[in-house]
Amino acid sequence: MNRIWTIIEKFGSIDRRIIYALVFLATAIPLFFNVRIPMPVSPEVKSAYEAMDKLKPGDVILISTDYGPSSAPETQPMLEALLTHAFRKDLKVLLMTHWRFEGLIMGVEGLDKIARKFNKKYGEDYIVLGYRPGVTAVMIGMAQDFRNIFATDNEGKSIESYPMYKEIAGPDGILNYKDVALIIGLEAGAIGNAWIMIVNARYGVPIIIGTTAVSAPDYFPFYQSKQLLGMLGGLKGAADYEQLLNITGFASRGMVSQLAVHALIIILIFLGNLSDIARRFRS
Amino acid sequence: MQTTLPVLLTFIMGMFMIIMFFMPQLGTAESLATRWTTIIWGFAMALGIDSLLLNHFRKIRKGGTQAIHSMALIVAFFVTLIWGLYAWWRYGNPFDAQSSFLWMFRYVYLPLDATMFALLAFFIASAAYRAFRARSMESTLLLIAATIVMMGRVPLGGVIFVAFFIAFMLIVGVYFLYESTKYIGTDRWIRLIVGLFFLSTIVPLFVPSFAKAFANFIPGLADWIMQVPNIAGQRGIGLGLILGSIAFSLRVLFGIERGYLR
Amino acid sequence: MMDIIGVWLAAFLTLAIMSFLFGDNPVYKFVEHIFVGASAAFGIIVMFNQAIWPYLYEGFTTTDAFLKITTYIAIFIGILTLFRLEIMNYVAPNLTWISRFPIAFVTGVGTGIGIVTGIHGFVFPQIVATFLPLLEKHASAIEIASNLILVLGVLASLYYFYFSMEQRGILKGITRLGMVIIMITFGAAFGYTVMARVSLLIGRIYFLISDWLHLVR
Repeated sequence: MNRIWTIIEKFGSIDRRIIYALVFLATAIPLFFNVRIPMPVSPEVKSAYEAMDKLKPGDVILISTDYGPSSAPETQPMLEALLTHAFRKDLKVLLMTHWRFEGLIMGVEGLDKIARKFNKKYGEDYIVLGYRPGVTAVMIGMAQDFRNIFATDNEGKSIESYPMYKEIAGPDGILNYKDVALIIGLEAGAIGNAWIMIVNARYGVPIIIGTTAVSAPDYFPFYQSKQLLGMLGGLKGAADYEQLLNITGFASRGMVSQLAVHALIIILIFLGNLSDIARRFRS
Repeated sequence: MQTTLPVLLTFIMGMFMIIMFFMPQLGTAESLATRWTTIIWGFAMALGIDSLLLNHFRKIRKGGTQAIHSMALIVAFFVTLIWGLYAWWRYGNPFDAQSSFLWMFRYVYLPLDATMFALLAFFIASAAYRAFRARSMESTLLLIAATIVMMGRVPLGGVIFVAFFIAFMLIVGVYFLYESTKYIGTDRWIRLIVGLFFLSTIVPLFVPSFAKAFANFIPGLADWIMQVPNIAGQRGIGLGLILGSIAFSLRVLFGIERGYLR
Repeated sequence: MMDIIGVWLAAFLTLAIMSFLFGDNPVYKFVEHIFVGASAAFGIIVMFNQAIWPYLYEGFTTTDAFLKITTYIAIFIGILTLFRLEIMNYVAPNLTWISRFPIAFVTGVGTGIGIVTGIHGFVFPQIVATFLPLLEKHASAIEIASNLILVLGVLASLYYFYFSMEQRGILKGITRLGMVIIMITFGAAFGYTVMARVSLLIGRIYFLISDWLHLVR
């Protein structure tokens, strides 16, 4: 029996390079098979979808792409899925960011890609406001008038000069949160908390958050307290949204790799614990 | 004076923003304060970059192998800066879709940033394998919750979970049955019963309909864990954090904490 | 053509960073320094393009005298921040205290917003949301049990961090419950963290096998 314990104990000393190789293969191999496996949609993603679906053509959504390339595999598919939904419903889109140049470029790339698909025109269907530093100061500054903070858009032109501005601004010509039907925060950090605690709590604007899986557990309390209309968490959230829209994007494709690596990690943890038990019983 | 006046300014602006919250009629004054904050913060973005460059210039002067890396940093900085300024002059916006500066972002910055974080997947697998040990009730609970959430959030996760469940119960059951052979009397019977109990939990899973129901239950259980105990814990931790940060903010406002002035 | 060169460059940089898996090496260090340098320069560009120039432009072009004056004053105060630059330690070491004023301004605004936001935006709504019905006519057993777990869980996890009083007797039981809830929370967080990290790796590997090697469409 001691011999069996000794063999089992060896499970705990697999070389780390073998583990790295296994992780690499578990991630790469499923990507070769373009398989999409349907899965149950999380309730918070369904709520987000329904919140978007309730909007009427011409309603304004403000998307804040507060993430960079390091979070893009999770949040970029969310952006593309949400924009697909928005343009299908002929919503007007305003894009901004709190994440410096990374959020700006990732947001603009995603927006341009989807806008081209739906033949949407800049200035008529969407405007890119850009980036301003200050986070909370920007959010409060926009409450009175977006032009307080974004007098010019990302192109350097006055936002009032676009035909879309006249359609979406209030009768007094001022554009503020009252004219926005929904805010979508795509987050890599804690800026989503600021959107909820300032813009939703103070000005009553409905919010959906799409966030990386690292931050997703932190936003569930806001969903339960109805401060959030819905939430997309990680690649699963993006894949769920794609499933609801009936499209196959990067997120749906990546979920099979996700399954393989999760299973591998659980097996590795299991082997590590088994080896630990074997060592204790052998001694 | 050099410290007192800034501390007083912090207090005045802090109280101003708190009062403005209760007086929405004075929204224009609040907008002005936030606009000024945005403008000032813009200039603050330059802080730290000169420190970075000076530090690496010193390393280049010192020489050695580190000098080559510091040179790479300085060269990358100035190449990117000049390229960006040129693109701004040429296209009116350095991040214009036609601008070659975006090429720099797409094929240099993006892969570097993304890959740095992608490495973490390897490290988390290796670290979990080496360090995640269920040695106490608490760590076992953590492990079980993590397993259910990880399997419940992927397609076919429930099916894989059933396989893990069968393997785990089989090993534990066989272990207790083997251990019972080393004892006599009551101790033997206890181990025998525990072993048989663990093995008996596997038997219903060989009935396809029960196994399917159990597999379909796992995503729902993962949802429940996120919607109930996770929210309870996150809310408790979050309330503690926010109250702590409010206490710290009050200390800053009243000039007790002055670290930000250094 | 530029895109093909770009993809190969991106693939090289990706593999150079991944070489860190085999240990710290000069190639990784070199590429890491390029990343830091480029990142700093991008920051400067975006600072001027998005944070300073739009306000300067607005100050120049607006006809509103009040807006013009206040914008210029704000820009002047912003320039005072630059007295905190390390280079000012050599140029004018006696004047670095001037930078305390704009920083005090920004800190004051931030803390003021933070205090009211924290209470109004988090504490109140979250406490209100914890008031859940524990006995409801048409609720299922699972709903009632979930509400009970949520309410007791919030109280227990809050009490777990209360160290001002010795925890004994029944209070120790509440601490134990708090520990259980927190362990489940951390387990869920670990599961989601694994999911996040793996997603990032999927993105990079997809780039290598699809955009670079064209093994997958």
